[in-house]
Amino acid sequence: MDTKRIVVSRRRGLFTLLLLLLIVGRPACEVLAVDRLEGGYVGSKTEGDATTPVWNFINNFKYEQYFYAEPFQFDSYNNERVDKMNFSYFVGHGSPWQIKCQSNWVDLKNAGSTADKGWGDTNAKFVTLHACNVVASPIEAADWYSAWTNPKGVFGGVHQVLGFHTNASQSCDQDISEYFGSRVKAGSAVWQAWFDAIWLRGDGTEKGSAVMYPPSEGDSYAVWSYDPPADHTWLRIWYQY
Amino acid sequence: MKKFISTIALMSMTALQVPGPSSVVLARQAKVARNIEHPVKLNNLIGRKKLETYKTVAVRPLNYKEAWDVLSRLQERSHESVPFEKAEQLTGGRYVFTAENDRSAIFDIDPATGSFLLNFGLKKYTNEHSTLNLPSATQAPEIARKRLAETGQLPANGKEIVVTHVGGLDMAVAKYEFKPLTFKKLVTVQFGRVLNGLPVQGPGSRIVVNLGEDGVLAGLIRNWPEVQSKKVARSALKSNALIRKEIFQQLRTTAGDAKETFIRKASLVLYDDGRGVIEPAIFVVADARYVGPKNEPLVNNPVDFYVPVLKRPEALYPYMKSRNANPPAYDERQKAK
Repeated sequence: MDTKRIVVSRRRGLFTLLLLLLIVGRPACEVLAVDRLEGGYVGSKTEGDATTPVWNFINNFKYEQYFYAEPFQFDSYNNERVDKMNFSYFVGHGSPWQIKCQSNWVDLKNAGSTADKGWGDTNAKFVTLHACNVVASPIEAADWYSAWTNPKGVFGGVHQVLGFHTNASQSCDQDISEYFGSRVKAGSAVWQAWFDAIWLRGDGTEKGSAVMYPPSEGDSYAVWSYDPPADHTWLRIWYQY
Repeated sequence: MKKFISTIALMSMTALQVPGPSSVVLARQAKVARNIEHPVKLNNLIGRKKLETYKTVAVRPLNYKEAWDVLSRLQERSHESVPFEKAEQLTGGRYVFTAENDRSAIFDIDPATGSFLLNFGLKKYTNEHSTLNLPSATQAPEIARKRLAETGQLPANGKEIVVTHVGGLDMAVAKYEFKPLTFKKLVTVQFGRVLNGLPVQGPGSRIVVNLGEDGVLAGLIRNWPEVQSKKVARSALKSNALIRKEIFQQLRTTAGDAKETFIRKASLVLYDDGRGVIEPAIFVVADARYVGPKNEPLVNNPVDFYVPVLKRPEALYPYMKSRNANPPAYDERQKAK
């Protein structure tokens, strides 16, 4: 028997196996030793304590940004702020599709209308809006989706946006963000960790919601799916009630 | 160039700076929150009730093997076999067991107290149809109690446990131009604790049961340490006048720039700090109305907080955590931007 041919054949087999693994493994980018980009944005320095819950999240990481929130960070300058980060965490006041920053409110239905576009055309994967009522669910609005995916909306490649569709308790916010950050860091699936944090640390009346591009449903800190197209209109929302 | 400099200046102004001494902030905010209404009677918040404080009964800390055994028993008694093959100990001591094929599956246990969160994983619920044979809202509490009994997690003192909420987890899909669809995925039963006739609130003392297909256990949170009570002497309590004063102080701090505040609720509860202390406190919920976005006059964002009733509280309250959190005054690295 020609042993040389067997070796070559084995090499071919190995090459084919590697090729197969590359093809099969394509849907997900996995990085073993990961250090993502995290940013924290404090909605207010004079209305309760939004500083500590933001700090309790980003303190789990070697964070990149830590700012008092201003509207430009979410709209006209987002490529250098929220969209420069992989994970962003905002704490402040809110109402459906709107968040309150230091100087003014941001209308998320139109925040993607500037030259910087929405979130995700640069780096953003996950944005948490820890504020009352921002991520409206079908319970509050039959059209819960088009505010996110309309041409001026913020879904421009971002994978998941997390928040509440009810009021958010200020007594619990530090504990929720602390636990959520620890779970994200530990590699848990992102929106699922958000809901666990609310079940574990919330006051029982606040209910989480998470809107996302469906293929990103299993994303975690280390492993996430490929970016959605900027103009997609395919959304899922998960919500506690 | 001027525009560039002004942009840089604007960016640097937003670098995080923590407000100075709280007394200064309070004084400023007292002027801002100028319209405080309080239809809730604040003149006798404690009443004649004889109060108690509670401390959790110390338990022997679990080691890794014992934590794994707790998980194994839970899986066995729930007839589940999720491969929790990855384990690590987080900063702070929690053991976390996870599954590679479903990153939402987790067993997260605090070895010092035995409190845990178990999620058998949500991956199997991501298809676009409702979960079969979910229990109804009326059936769910009884089924949840049954699951607690089967897994050995029902609290020893059945009089302390009450159902506080029955809800669930839903998913909806909007796809291109099709009509959006909604799917029911889990039913959630939340249990709370009542001690000495008072509801226990705060991060401790809770059980949350998630039920899936045919009412099987899909997830369980158990944070329910056993406690020992101690009577509180009247002399250890704050006066009503002092409590009322502290309610307004905290309201001003919490509501900040609100144009109007309105105390909706102020009630005597027990606050469980999740660190071994349960003690009486006043829980306050207030409406705070802020100047809204354009075309919206005022937006109501409720605020809530606790005011300790004891002159020398031992629990760690949220406002104390804020004081102790000590976040940096600003991020040094932002100067380079």
